[in-house]
Amino acid sequence: MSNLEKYDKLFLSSFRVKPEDLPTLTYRGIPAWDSVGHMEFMSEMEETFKISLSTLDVLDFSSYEKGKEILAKYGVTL
Amino acid sequence: MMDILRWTDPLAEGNCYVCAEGDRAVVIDPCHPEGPASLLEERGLVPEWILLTHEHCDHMLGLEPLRHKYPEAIVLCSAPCDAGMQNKYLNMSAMMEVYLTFKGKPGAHYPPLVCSPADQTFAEEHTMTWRGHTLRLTPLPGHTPGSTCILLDRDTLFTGDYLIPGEAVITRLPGGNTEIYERVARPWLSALPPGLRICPGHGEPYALTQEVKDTYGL
Repeated sequence: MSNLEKYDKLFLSSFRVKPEDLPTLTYRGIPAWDSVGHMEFMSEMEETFKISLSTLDVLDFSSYEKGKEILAKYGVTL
Repeated sequence: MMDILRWTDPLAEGNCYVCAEGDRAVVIDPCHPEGPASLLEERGLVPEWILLTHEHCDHMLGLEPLRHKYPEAIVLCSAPCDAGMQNKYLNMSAMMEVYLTFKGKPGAHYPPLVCSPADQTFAEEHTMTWRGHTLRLTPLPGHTPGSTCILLDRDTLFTGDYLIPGEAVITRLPGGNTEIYERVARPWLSALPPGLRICPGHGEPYALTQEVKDTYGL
């Protein structure tokens, strides 16, 4: 499975959205992606890609697209 | 006569309870590296047992320092709590700075941590007697896999992150499970008798009433 597939799968399983929803998905844009959902989601992101995100980056991870930029800082290319 | 003392962490607002009998104590949820130990020292108490209501770091941040200071104290918790406190994701310490920011406390330094294994664990309901008192520890997964309520002498219940005044039960953090909460924890909590003294993991202790139960849908 490619990194992009893993990345997409995390969103799809965590928030139960459709693939076509991903490009416009934002933090607090759906009920499931609230502050509680965000913490579990970020934990799964770290475990999946074996990285440790800084607190600032976790807080800055505000959308599907923004997340790609942040993961790139940790050497995860999508 | 047992004294029940409470120490509250000003940052994460978790409660540590110290049940004191003579100069000995049972500590429930050592939530801070210094606070509970200071309370014990001030009162001249020596802890014999350290019990945990669940694995979240805001309830056991002071566990390792307390063990270091009182190596004879026995750490007892449910088996899933034991596993969870050894994992920075399940114990929430990996996300604690984020959590505190969401709670309006940005900039706190709260590095991820793990604890060493408990001395004793239980998988089913566990009853212990201590200096003439009975403590019944009931595993109630849902909020976390290791969540446990601790009933002292049939009249005081330490509930961890269940029955927190004004807050709904959270089952969506790592390891939480709504279906298990509904199937296991909620029926048990629903059967609690009014009049019980509730000592929650956050907030002030209070007397359980039917009105309170109604607000939690119990």
